[in-house]
Amino acid sequence: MSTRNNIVERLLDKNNLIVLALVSLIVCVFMQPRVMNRPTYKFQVTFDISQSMKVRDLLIDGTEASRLTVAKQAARGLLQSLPCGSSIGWSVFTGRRVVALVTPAEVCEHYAGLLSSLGFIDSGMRWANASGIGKGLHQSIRAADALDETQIVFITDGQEAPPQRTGHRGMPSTDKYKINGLIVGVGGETPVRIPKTVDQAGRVTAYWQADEVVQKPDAAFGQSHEELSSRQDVHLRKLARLAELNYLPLESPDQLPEAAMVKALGLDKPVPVDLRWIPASLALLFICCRFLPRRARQW
Amino acid sequence: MPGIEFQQPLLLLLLPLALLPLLPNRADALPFPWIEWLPADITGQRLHRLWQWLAALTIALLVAALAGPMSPENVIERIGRGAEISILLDRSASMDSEIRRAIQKDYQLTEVTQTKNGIAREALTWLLAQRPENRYALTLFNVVPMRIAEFTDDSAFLQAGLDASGIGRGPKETNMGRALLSAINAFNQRPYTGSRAVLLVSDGGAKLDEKTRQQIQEGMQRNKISLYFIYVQSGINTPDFELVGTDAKTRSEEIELHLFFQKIGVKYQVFQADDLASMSDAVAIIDGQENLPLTYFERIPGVDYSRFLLICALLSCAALTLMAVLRLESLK
Repeated sequence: MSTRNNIVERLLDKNNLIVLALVSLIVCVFMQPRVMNRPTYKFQVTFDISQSMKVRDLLIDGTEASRLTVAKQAARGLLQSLPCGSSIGWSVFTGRRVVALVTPAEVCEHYAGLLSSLGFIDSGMRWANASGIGKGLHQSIRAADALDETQIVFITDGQEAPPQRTGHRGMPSTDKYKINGLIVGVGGETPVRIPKTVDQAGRVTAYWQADEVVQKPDAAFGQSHEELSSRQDVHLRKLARLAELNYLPLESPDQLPEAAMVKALGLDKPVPVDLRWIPASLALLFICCRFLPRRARQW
Repeated sequence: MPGIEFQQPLLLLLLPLALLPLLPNRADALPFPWIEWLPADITGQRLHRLWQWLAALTIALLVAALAGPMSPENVIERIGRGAEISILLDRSASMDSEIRRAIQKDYQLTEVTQTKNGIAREALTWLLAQRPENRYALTLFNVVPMRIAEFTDDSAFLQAGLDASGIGRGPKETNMGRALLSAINAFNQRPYTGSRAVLLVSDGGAKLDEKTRQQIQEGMQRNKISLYFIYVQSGINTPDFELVGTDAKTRSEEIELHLFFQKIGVKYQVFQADDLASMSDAVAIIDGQENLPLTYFERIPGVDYSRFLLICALLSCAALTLMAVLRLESLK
């Protein structure tokens, strides 16, 4: 009865795959989410809302956009990319002060609130006209230190008003704070005029003139052009080095999530992870293999 | 039945795999040299069809489960009781100054000091905890109003906004007129879905010019907004609103503001943030007055259907296995 044995053997052999699929599915249905350490992030994002951030020298999808708009777009991207369990908060900075708007809130649970409060941030919140970047950065770092395990993202164009003397940084020492994070530089590379007054429709009615702004105190006559603004990479890089932060010159809003969600800025947090897809995929594979069209075996 | 969304819709491209079992599969053919000799086996053929369809079903269910089917998050309109309360919290430097708590109880140490902001936040946190069913908006103000949260019942998020107001120091100047107008205007485009109130939390008065006063009065009346002023006393010597004198010399900015608010012609009440009894009164009065039906939206989180599909796949696969065993046995 060798033929019959052969048939039984072959059926068993082929239906092994179905039995395997059944076993995988039983495992799958009764599987609980595994608690695994996953990187999560906790950021307090500070936006420079001083007047130079209104300069429209950037593009979003081919449309002219202000530096603040690009900064907000980048932050929105970060909010959307952060995994659940991460949190993010917003602060604004102008003059010599940082005002926190929202402390870090969990991104999935409070997504709607975070998104709408981000939408409210604009230069209308500006309570003063100067811009002391070093002081703002220092306060952001100090505030993050008071919050638990928070890293900072500080988005600015680096335009100081009034300007710092050559060699001065204008930032109190941050050595005692162990804060990590990013300084993000926004703005174009060509110096352009800074809007001074804007009408109700949002049109710029006047720009700052050279004799209306404080020029560099130690620059030769005519050499200082503080009425024009561009992204101050050199200055921001130096501040970043002093504060031991990373510096990201933002060329496109999508760069922020990529630069912020790195291992050095993440915290491993136990998060329940659904691994049911593994046995489910195995079951699928087994059944598909069982039914792959094959030629009948020759005997 | 609400629509279904897939978290990994691209995986649905694997659905044609379900056709595999329906293809004639020569591997399933039993080796008989000449089947014309066999009697037609209608039952067997039907069983084989069933077996093929079960396998196809299992594959389809598995692919669908892997694609992560969810019902979309739903928003259901409900009607409850409560109010839309726009919180207007002073975030100027004066709120950062420390004061001795005005109401000293025998059991409290005399050294107890706290920032005014801390007292205000404590009072608001307490209020949120008492009445989470109200909808709150939060605006911080100094010389400019800063909107933080539009009307929401996400108290934890509002708390994050309140917490933020305790970080660092606020700017020096205050412009309460602009802040009030911003809070009033936030109601402008909203449908009237329940009682409305502005809850002003501040430590000081403000000089409002005639034009601003008019705009405030008009806006409050037009939008039917009640006004609650939670006053954070700067010390024991700050004016007590209950003893407002008409003597012009004793009139401070606070008193001026208080008198103006009384004249607006909408419901107005002042409370003391430092005094728990006064804050309880505040809750009671807001409850009593702001208890019109309130339309609110409840978010129903999406339901994950993958577990259901996996259980179906398991049952169908079990049936498949059973049939395989039966077929095996019928060969005997």
